[in-house]
Amino acid sequence: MFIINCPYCGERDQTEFTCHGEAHIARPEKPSEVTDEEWGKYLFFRNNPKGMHFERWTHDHGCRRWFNVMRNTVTDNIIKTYKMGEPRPEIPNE
Amino acid sequence: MNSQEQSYSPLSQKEKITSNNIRLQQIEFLGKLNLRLQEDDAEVRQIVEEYLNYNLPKIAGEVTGNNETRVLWLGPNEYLILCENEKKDNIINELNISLTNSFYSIVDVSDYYLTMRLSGPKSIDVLTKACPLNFEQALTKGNTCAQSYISKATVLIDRISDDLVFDISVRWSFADYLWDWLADSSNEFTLHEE
Ligand SMILES: [Zn+2]
Repeated sequence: MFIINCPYCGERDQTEFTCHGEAHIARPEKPSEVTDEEWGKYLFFRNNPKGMHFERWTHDHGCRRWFNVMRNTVTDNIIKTYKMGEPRPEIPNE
Repeated sequence: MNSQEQSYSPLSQKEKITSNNIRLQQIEFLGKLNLRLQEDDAEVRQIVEEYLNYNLPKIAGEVTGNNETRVLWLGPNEYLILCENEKKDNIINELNISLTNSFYSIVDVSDYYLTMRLSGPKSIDVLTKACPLNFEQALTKGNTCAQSYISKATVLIDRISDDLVFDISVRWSFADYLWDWLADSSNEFTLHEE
């Protein structure tokens, strides 16, 4: 079983959660003032790293809150989970 | 409970399970109020606590209460108040008055969820067949709650006493399914009871 540590509920089974893609992507503050290319980048372009990745998850079958996850895409290890609004953690030296 | 009151629910026709190992029954006329407030708003919290006469739950899975009401932790800024169905309108009105100038919401969700009570020495064996909770970490004693799922239904489980008594609230459209699932899962413990 794969356990995820919800920042609110604590350790729960992975099947209670859903991943919603990359975290820390800010919506342009004035969408009407950005170029099509910038808007396209915001909408469609995502990192696809081999290694550390920052993701948004929800605890669907628990507290239903959103939070962020720092996960290694190679090992599937979750290094850290943290609340929305908290800064992106430093990537540890390997 | 008012004896004149009649209830109809997807569980009205279900036969109670009443074995020594497992018992399952519907809990009717339970008022359920969803209360939301800002996590760090001490003022609203204090007004609510003064009204209820006890503290709101502070940590995940905590349940507080007295003889009249019970409050379950649903999230860092969200609680479920349980009360007698007849008293819920009064609670909403009085809280609305004391919180007039505050940022909060209180919503009557009594008819959104149905509650069934699963109890008996084998109840955890029944639940663990399709509920991913670790029952050595969650719901280990009375007055604790946890949200999770049982088979395909998202549920809120409220352990109401140190004995194995679990009040399971589920969206009403899932109630028929969940009851049948629990009854089926209980079969092995009820059919061949010594
Ligand atoms: Zn959670």
